[in-house]
Amino acid sequence: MRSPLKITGAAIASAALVGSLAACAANEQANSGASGGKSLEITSWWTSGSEADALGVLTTAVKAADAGLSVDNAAVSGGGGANARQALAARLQAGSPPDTWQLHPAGQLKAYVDGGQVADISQLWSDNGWASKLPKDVADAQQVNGKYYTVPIGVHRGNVLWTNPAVLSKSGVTIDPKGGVDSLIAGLKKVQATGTTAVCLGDKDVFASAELLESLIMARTGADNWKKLFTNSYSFGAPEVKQALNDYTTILGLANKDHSALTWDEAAKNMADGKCAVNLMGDWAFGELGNAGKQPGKDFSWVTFPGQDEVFDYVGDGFSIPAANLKHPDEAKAWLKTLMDPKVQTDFAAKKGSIPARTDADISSLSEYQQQAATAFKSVPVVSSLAHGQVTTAEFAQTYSDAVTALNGGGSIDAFVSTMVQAQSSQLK
Amino acid sequence: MSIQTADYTSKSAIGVSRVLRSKDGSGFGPPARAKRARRATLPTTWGGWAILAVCCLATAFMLVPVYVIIATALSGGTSAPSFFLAFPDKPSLDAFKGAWQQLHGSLINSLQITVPAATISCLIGSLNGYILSKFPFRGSNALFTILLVGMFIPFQAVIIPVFQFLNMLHLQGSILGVTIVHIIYGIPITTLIFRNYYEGIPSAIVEAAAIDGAGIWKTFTHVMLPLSLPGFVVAAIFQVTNIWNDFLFGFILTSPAAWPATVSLNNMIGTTTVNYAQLMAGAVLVAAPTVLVYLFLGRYFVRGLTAGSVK
Amino acid sequence: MTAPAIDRAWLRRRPPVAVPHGVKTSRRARLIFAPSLLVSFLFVYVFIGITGYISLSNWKVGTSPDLSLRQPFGATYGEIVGEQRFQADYRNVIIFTVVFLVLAIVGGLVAALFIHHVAIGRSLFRTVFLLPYALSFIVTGVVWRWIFAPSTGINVFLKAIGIQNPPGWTTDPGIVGAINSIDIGSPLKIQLGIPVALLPIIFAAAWQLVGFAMAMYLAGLASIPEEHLEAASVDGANAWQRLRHIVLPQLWPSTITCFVLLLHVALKIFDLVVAMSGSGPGFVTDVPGIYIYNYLTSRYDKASAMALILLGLTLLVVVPYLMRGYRRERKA
Repeated sequence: MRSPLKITGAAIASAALVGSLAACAANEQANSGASGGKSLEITSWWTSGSEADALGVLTTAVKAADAGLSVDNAAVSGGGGANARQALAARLQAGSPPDTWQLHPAGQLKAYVDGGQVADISQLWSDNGWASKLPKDVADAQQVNGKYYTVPIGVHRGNVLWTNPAVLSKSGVTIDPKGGVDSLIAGLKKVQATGTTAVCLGDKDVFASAELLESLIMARTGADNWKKLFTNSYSFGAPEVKQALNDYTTILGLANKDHSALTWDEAAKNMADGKCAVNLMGDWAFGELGNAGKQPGKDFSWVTFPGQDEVFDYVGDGFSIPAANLKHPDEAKAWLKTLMDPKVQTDFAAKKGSIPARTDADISSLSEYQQQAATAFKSVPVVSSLAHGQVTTAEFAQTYSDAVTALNGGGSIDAFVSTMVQAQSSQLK
Repeated sequence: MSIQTADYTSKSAIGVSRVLRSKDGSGFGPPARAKRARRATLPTTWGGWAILAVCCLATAFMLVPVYVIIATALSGGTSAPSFFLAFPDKPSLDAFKGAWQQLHGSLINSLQITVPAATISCLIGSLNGYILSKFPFRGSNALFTILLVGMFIPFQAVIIPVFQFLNMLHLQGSILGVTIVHIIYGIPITTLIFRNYYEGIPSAIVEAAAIDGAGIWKTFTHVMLPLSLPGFVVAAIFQVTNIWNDFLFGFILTSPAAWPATVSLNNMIGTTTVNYAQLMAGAVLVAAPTVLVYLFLGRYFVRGLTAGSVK
Repeated sequence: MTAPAIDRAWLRRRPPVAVPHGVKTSRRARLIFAPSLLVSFLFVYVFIGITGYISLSNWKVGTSPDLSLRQPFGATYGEIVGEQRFQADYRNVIIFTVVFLVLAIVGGLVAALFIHHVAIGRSLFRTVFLLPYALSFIVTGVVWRWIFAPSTGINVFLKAIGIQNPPGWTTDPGIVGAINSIDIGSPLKIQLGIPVALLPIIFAAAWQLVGFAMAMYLAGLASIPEEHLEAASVDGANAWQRLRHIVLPQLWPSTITCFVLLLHVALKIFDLVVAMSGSGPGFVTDVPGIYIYNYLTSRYDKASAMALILLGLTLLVVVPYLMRGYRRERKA
């Protein structure tokens, strides 16, 4: 009767039993681990090399301030943060949020405020006098209806054109940040004529091309009209926007053909490796290139994305805490305070490529690029990013990114415009 | 990955009845007749050689992706090899260490989800199958058909209510929650498998138990269950594969701490620089349990696929 | 040869019949089956009903359930049907399903016929063909994405054999054999044809599931009585005639089963595409599953409407299949 089948069956049955028991034991352990001891769970989409390092700066700092604290880093990759936001939305709704989560301020924050999911931390702000330590643009972005919900850790710039000096000089091209889009395109065409790909693009996650298009639109419309797009007082059908769309399709034609297979950081590295002349990306690329051992000034350089007037496309990094079901309130508050430490902000910026949000943070140790960005942030008009869902609602941002995806597949400019104009009238009230 | 077989006509108990007839319990294999008719011999005709050659080529072709996984995993480097068929100069297991570090938690989660979910759904399925095959009541076939629809629905069509439901029970995000969901959506397929299986068991056995005074429960626990091992193997392999490989439920219904291995593996792809060696090593780790089950119990696996699906 | 003979005799007998039982047992049987049925009713039918209601409501974001009905009735459906993305998704999923079914079923049939007739190494071939079936779509997607990577994948081969401009595979926005061009203002906002980018995904799916079809056919082949084939041989039928007139007709049920099961996998495909390409440029690889997932954060109503359309498409095939089984059962 000792057939192989019976023995197998017995083995499976006992394995199942052992497995279940182990599962129960592990569950209990996990639960006790969560309830006892000091811990902090952080959700973010910082998973690339430089991002993970920058996050590491923050967790090290918070642990140094509170010995014995265990930090649970629940980073979710993919989709330019979309997957992380999806996972977060599910958890918020389920009433089991992380202790703190990363977000872009303003538009993205507003959705959480409307849903009653994010804690009002105005008290914390006034207790620590943070508002006076921040530029007005930054402080404003952390508020909804006059209340503070977010703590800003850094300020990124979205519209930076990273360049490869060797490739540019070989083609005899210089890019003048004040020369406007037309001269940029002329220069890129010249590069293309030498047989080198002009533009590196990596839009496996569509935000990369959405950001390129938004830089072009800003360059053509200027800061004021850009802002008006989202109050529906300036139309996506305006001639300047159409011009930007034409520019976009031209630039897409000058980019590497496999752009939809590459991620943003692969594209940035390809640029530094000389596979092309330029790459538009937010200045997290600066952190990522540094992390990959590329030398600023030698392997790569940068210009502000050329436009009529200089614009600072603000992409903010901040953290919020949940309004309800906050498991570790003390640790979460300690975390927010740590983030606002000027020294921590500087160390974070060194890894991330951003500039500190606080005006009193010491930036002398930061790179030349970052010092320039800090100066620009003070002196040029600041606008918020649509590609990153900062300027308006998630729904509008999704419509925009769908429209860009369609455009990338050879969709017509007219179709793009009509989609966006319609979304303006139906979604922006 | 999920495929389920559906066919529950009584004629379809072919495979199962064969199982029962062969006393050594090896009936899940190919029919003895076929085995005996063909010895493993080299072909004697040109046509035979041609067939063999085609089979070898096709097999080699099928193995290319498997080779790619293993070769890349062993490359140990952080950047992608320049060509997908390149074999590393210095094979190393470093990538496995990194992948294990990233995945071991979720591999344990997968185990915690898969084992109870498969076990319980099989138990429920066997009970249902027993009732439907041995004690059919008026309308039982219609009700069974209604139950079976659940096997085919795209889960996207129920995901929002499932989410809200788990939320209501405060189980959203937890391992327990996703386990329950797997059990429930596993009931139709396990019921189907066991119904087909039990139809192959002569009713005389049950009748005899009834004459001895055993009730419907006692007959199940004392007579049917001991005969059910082959059915359990088939259904369990099926459920383990489906649940282990699930992505959608795991993705939406669990929070990061409870992520199953498939979701964590996908998370390794991400927006960020892909460490191909580590990713492939991760793929090996995630695939290993089901592949091992399949390699060791492959014959039953084939039977699991086809039991009841051939009319 | 006695055991197989008994085996066949057993098969020819009538199917087993129910145990005769009284009213009390019958009630108990119902009671035992009832919980499964109720749970199933809730999780399948009630939940589908809820999804249907959400698709008609104003519920946009998860956080603020607005369960009032959207006016005009069914406006969400009207909204999504006019979207380029929606149209691309259904073009893609239909192309995917058709090409994938042909590849997997024909491939599985050919593999089964060959493996059935090979005298050596059968179990090895069978094992290798079925191996991918044990993997998850995520693993399959990860590997095939790498194989089709435009600059390091099989394009290296293609260039080596002289193809200068190999396709960009999952990155290629091209539509092969497009039968229309896009007219501004036309309700059809996509090109109908075969998206190049879909081909690697179809290929990967076929690789994974061809073994499943093969296993179905192998089981079908094993149940064809040898005597039939022998008798046909004696009557002078050649191999092709035997295949055409005896084997293939007997394999028809396997084909139906394969067709329905693989079709339902194809219609709800999600994880494989997520791992291989995502939406792709111009939604060339987008599928309803991804659409639904994307809109789960911003538009519950749209996600639900899409899910119900997908469900309708699935049921269109599955219900007749189940009804067929049910009717047979009633006759038996």
